[in-house]
Amino acid sequence: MKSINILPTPGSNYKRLFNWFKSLDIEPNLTLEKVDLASPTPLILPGVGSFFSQIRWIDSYSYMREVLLARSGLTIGICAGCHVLCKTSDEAPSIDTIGLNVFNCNVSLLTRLHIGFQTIETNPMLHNPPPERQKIVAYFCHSFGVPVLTATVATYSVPMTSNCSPALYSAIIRKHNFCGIQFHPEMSGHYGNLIMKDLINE
Amino acid sequence: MNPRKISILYVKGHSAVRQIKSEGYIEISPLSHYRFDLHNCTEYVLIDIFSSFAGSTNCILSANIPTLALGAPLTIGGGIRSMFDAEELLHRFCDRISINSLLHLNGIPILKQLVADFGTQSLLPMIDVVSVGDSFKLLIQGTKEIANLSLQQVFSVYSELGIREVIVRDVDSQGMQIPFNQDLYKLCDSIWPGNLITTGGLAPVASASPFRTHARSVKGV
Repeated sequence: MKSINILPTPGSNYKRLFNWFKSLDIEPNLTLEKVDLASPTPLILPGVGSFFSQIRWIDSYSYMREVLLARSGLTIGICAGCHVLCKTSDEAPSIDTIGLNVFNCNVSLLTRLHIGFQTIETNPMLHNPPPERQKIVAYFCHSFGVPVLTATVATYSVPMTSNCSPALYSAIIRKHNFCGIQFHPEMSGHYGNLIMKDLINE
Repeated sequence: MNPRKISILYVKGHSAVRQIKSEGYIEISPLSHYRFDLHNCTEYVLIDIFSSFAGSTNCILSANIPTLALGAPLTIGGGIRSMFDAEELLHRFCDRISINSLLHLNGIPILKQLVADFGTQSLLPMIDVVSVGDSFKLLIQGTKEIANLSLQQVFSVYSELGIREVIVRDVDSQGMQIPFNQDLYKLCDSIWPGNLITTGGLAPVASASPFRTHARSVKGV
C-alpha cells in the first residue's frame, strides 16, 4: 500500500484528508517530524485555512521551511496549501509575509467568492492526459487565486462582473516535485480521486 | 461554473429534522440513515438547531454521517462559540462552518480571529429573520432570542470582514404553505453585495422561481 504524509497545518481539514486517503487505499500519516518531512514519501499541505496563519505556523518551527524546500519527494499543496507554495498573498496583512516561494507570484484577491463545481482545462503544452482526463470537474471554494504562470498545468475561469470577460487562474501548477492544486480533490468525487491517484502513483 | 444545488438540513441530536410550525421539529430519519443521494445535491449544509438553543456542543461531531455527505462539500453549523469549536469541525468534517449567534454574543474580535486563521471562505453565516410588524428582526440562539443588531448592521459587519456568502432563513416561512418573504429577499438583495443563499418556504416551484432568476441567489432545498 502506498503511503503519504500530511502536514497538520492550523485551520486545515487534515483529518478529513486523512480519512479520504484511507478510502483511496493510501496509508496517511499525520506528521511534523523533521525526518518524515525530509523523506521522499509524498507530502500534502492541506487546504482550508489562510495563507498568513499557515506561513506563521510553518515559521514557528525553526527547521520546517528549510526542510520543506529541500524535499526531493512529491509535495502537493491543496487550496491554501497551494497558496503557501507561492511568494506572497493578498490574504496576508502585510507584504512582509513571504510564502515558500516555490512559485514566484502573488496570490490575488478574486472579485467574488469562487465556490462550486467547475470544469478545468488542462494545458496540452505541459501536460497531455488521456482524453477522459482532459476536462475534469472539480470543487472550488476560495477567495484568493493563483495567476496563470509558465508552470500552470490546468486553468479555470472566474466570472467577473457582467461587463468583463472571465479571468483565468491556475487550477494546477507544477514545478519539479512541487504541485499546487487550487481545487479540493477530496471533495471532487470521482475526478478528485483520479487526479490524486495519478499524482501519487507517478 | 456548474449550477450549485445546496441541501440545507436541520439536525437535532443525531437525527435529521424538519420544522412544522405547530409541532416544532419532527424527526425525518436518523442522520446515519438519511438519504443524502435523493436530492443529488452538490453541497450539504447541516445545522444543529438544538445546540445553540440549549448551550451544548455541536452534536453532529459525534453523529455517524453517511460517507456520501462526508465526501461532498460540507458546511456544519450550530453551537459554535469558540475557536476550539470551529477548529474541531474544520479539522474533522467540513470545509466550512456556519455561524449565527457568535457575532451577537461573542462580538467581532472572535470573527476576526476566525477569518485570520481559517480564511473568509470557511465562514458561511446563517441569519434567521422574522417579520415583526413592518420590520424584520434577527433571531439568535436557536431562534429563542431577538438580536439587538439589525439586518443592515449584520450585513455590514460580515461585508467588512470580507465574507462573501450568507444564508438567510425566513423563520416565518413553512414549506408548501408559507413562501419565503419576497420583501425580505428584496431587502437582502439590495444591501448584501455577495452571494445570497435563501432558505425556508421554497418548496412550491412558483415561490422559488423569482429567486432562481437572480444571478447571485442560490436556491436552498
